[in-house]
Amino acid sequence: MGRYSAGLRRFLRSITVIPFFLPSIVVVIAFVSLFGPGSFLTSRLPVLGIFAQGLTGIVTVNVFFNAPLVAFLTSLAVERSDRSLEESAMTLGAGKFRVFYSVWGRDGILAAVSAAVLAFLYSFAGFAAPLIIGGVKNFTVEAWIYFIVKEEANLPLGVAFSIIQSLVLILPVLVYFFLWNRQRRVTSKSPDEYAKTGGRLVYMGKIYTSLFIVAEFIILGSVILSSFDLKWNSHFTLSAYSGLFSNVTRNALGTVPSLPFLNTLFYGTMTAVISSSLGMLWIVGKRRVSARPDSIVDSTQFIPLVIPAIVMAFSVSIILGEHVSSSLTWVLIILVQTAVSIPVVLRMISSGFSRVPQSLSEAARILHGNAFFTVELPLAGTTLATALLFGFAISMGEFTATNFLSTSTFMPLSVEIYSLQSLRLTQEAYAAASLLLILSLVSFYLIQRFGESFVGIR
Amino acid sequence: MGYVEIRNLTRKYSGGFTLLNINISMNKGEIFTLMGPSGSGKTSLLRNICGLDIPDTGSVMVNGSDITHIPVERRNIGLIFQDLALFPHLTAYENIAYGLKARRTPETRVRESIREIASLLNIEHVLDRIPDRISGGERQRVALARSLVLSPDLLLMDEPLSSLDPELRADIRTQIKRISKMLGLTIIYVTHEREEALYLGDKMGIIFNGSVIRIEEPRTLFEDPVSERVARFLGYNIIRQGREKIGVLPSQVRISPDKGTLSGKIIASGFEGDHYRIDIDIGDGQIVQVFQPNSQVPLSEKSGETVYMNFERSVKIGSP
Repeated sequence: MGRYSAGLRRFLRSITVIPFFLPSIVVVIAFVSLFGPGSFLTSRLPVLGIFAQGLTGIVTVNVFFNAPLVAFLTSLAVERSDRSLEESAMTLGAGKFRVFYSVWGRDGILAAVSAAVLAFLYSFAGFAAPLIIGGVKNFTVEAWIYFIVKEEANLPLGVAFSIIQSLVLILPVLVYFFLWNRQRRVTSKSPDEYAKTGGRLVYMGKIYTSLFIVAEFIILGSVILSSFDLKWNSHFTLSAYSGLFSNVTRNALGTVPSLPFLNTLFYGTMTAVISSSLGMLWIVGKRRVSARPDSIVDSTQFIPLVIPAIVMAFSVSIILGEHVSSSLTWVLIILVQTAVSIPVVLRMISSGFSRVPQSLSEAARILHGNAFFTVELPLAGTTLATALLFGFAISMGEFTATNFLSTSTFMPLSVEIYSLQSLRLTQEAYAAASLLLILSLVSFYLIQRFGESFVGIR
Repeated sequence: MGYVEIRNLTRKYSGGFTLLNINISMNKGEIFTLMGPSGSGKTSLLRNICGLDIPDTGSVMVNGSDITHIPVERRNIGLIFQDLALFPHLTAYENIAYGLKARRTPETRVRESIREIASLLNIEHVLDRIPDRISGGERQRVALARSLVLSPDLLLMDEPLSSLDPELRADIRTQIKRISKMLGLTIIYVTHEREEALYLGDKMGIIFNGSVIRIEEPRTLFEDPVSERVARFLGYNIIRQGREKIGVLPSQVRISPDKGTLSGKIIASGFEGDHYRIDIDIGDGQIVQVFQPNSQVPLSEKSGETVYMNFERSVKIGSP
């Protein structure tokens, strides 16, 4: 996908990366709908149940979730590999293999390894899969912390686990940044200009990609189909949706049926606006004082990567919980979701604003104009829109901290899905997951439409 | 007191670079060309003058007013950046109107001013185009128009012609000089091109490592560079003769096959258009560059051949 020209190359890559973009709870529920107990497939072939239970289930979900990320970042690095370096190597007599390991292969492998480190980070801090399909025996540290603090109310042990988890995460985060910084600058020309044609390789690549996309559609489509027809026996019904927006949900969860949906939109909007505003303040402030990039201060934006969401959630609840009334729980949820989204949003905004030459902002100032509104915002507006959408999408997908903090009144769709699943209201859970899936896909489409490239950290 | 006075300006930057004790005085309507190698502090000095950077000590006075601590947007100083910094999302017209609108100038006045300046610079035909859709020379003139339309007290130009081809550069250079004299515009023009600095400047300064080491009229500076680094920068050969050093311009060396004040071996030669360039090794690690008129070329074009040199003019070189 990175090196060879093939029809619909960009489109295929966009489709491939979808799972990574989806809320983890939706992916887990999709696996449960396809491979869970009593599903259409497992009732005929019980062995497939391993994909939705225990260790194998967690690994399968994590692979499905993170493989697109590794593929996407690797293909992006290969696509953007400096073609002039490759051509120089060829004119200096380098053969195909030497060109591979000294130029484009090096870039691709470096990106693959750094993406794999990211995949490790996400899997290490995985929450939804261990909680829903893993069972206590397969809990991650993140799930343990949730269990210890929320269910057992053992705060000191939770804090101890949190510190250990953060310390363990520091090393892979540092490795990730080390690898990220070793990546070479990219070619300035359009990648499509350089895409090569390659007969059999492209054919094999198409088959491989198509298989993944088919699997992707089956897994994600399964949750939507199951929301209409639980056993896939052609008894289509809208009862799950009517149940979701009726007294079934009200009685089971003690919330107004439409509230989780509205909460999701509210949290998403607020998180997007706050994290993007903070990001803009940071970046524009840096531009005004002509701060140098990549300083130590910059790295503070990535602190949320080292501090797991569950730790943020219970830290916030400890520090602010006593001072904030329970009617303001939504503030805590937005606060934590903003913290979780900051690394990505900031990175998006930073990349957009860094493309606006400093001299343009200075020229505006010299000419007595408002550099931000008349120059930077119009030129980096697309990036800002994309950052807002990313903020919205991350908020929708954030499950760990939100599940820890939310109450029946303030639960968003992601928590509602988990609660319905726990209460064995399976079809209603699938209906809620389908709604969240559709919302996520709309966000994903809009992000693709605005055209900013995906940056790899979330 | 001059129209522009920069007094004892010093600014230390975090990377260790320092603009040190800069003093420049200019009369109204003068062009001051500042020449120096890359990283010598030319752009930093302009940033301190226009207010994008603030000096640690010293002052910037324009027309009798101390503007050292006045915010950049209230100084009425124009700056043309090396990359021109034309706003890519605005048309040429909107670019030129930007400063006027920021000052809340009435629309009719904006239109009138732009028409005048566009006519002066011959860019009426590109006013409705965005910068990407106009040629390099036209972009240059739009950037000039954007600053000139505000009638700045002082115009700073930071190597604005560096991206143009030589022919266009010469043309724009002429226009800058013509317009500055026509409008009585005071300009500080930064460049590392010798010809540009000499041609444009009423006064010329040389800056090295953050210090302006000499200010003179261009011809005086060129004919008597005094120090070795200024001489080298202006294109002189530096030749050690015992404990003394002399500076000789390549075009002022004459080659003879059999007699001269200095001898050496030709190491390379080549045609450069209006002259041949010959590099001669005179020993002790010294290479002398000679520009020989095309008519004399047969005298010396073989590598390894020993030749003799006479100098039409040489200058004594003092401290580095």
